[in-house]
Amino acid sequence: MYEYLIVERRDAVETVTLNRPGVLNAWHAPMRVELAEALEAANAEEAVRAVVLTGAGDRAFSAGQDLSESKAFEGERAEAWIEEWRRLYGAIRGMRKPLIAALNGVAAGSAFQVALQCDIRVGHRGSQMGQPEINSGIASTLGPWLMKEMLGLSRTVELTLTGRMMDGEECHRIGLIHHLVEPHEVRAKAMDIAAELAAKPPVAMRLNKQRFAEMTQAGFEDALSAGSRIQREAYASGEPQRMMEAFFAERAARKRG
Amino acid sequence: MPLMETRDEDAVLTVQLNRPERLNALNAPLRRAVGDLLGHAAGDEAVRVVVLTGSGDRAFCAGQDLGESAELAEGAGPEWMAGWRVYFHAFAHFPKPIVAAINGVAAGAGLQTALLADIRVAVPEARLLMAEVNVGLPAIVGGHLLGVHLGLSRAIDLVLTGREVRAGEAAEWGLVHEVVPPEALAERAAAIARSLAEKPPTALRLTMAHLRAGRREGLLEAEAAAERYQSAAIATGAPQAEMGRFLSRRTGRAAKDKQEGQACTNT
Repeated sequence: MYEYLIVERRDAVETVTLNRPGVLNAWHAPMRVELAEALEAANAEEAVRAVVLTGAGDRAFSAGQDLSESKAFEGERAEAWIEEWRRLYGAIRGMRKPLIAALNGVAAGSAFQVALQCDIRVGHRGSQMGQPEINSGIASTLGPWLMKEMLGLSRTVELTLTGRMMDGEECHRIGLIHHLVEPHEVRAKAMDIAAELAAKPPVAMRLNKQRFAEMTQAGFEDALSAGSRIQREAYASGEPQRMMEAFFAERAARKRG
Repeated sequence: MPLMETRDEDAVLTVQLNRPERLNALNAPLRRAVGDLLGHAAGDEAVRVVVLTGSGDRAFCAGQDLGESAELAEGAGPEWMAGWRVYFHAFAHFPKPIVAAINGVAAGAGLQTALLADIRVAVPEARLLMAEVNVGLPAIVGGHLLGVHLGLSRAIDLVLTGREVRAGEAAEWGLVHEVVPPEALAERAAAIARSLAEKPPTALRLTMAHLRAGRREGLLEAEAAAERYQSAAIATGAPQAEMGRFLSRRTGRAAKDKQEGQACTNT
């Protein structure tokens, strides 16, 4: 049914697995559309009371944006790209059911943002997270907005400007990962939490979710409109494309060497 | 008396929520008493700082008295919500520092009360939780206050799971400022209060005014949202059914342990 996802159901819990392990589950436009569709379907299905989101393989939850797609962007395409995020993030924000991230490995950039928009995060020491966009010449707007809601301004500025990845322990210490467990326990722990939340009174659950979305709606809209403006300017400068070409050239050289 | 006050010579007024048999749960008389007392203390020049704590050794405040909310007559909802509004406003407008001495569980509106205070000292055994979801109620003011203090990541976790956090973990998060043994709690809270009472009064007054004003708009917006969300929840009939189940489970337990009981809030 899906080309880039595996969707399974056990009792009231739906598990969505990002499934492009060859590229660390990085996403391009078709995969993002599938993810939005899978979440919307789970949201509409009455038998589903909680959703677990995870990645295939043992290295990555998701590396985020597939750079082989974005290296070809121009100013106008970059603006459309932001509208694609509105669709996916809108699907996540519209969830009436709890969403649990089972962080089986790294979550970078937009995948970090997706993880932060889940409700509960389970990870292990190797579940690195961060916002490395700056290193590819990509400006960040949605990531800093999400981080600021969770971490305050001090850590948000440091993480945005350095593009530094945090390890799982740091993420746990500052409250981004709620449960730090052994790597082989991540999925089972996420499933346990999902089952527990699936058993909560669904009306109160839905209203709590709705309220958190309402509380953050103005900030979301602001981050998106800033994103369109800023990505257009960034891509029009040609810098992101150059940085990404350099990334691919370096990787090719490493492979040859 | 649902409320006990003690005043010492150092301008510190200690207020004890005093319904230990109900884990100091907030019913209408207790809410009114707290609101009235803060109203008087606000204008009393002899009072510079308030310490708020709970009677007994089990609870700071177990939150909303579920026995009261389960028995609300049809149409009594607006008056009941108005009572909560008066209660929260008393904190939102109180011009002096409040120290919460958290001597045991702080759940739902009990935790909200602690979060409306300025400095929190707790015993290691204190359990903090927003339990509303477990009885079918949304936690709107609770979600707001946790978000302000902890950021959204931890706030969402606590509101959706209704799980409890011990004082030690809460202190690592910065939610509780100090953890002290039960026998030292009252003295430590009083010492913090005295040190605040000795601050230069104009600087303290202006700082407090700024802090309260900065938080008031968010709190009032959350309260208004709480009324909308509670009405939506109650219209489905789900919370009443959940509370009934919760209270009957409690009655069952009470047969074994008469003291056992827990409550939670409406907001």
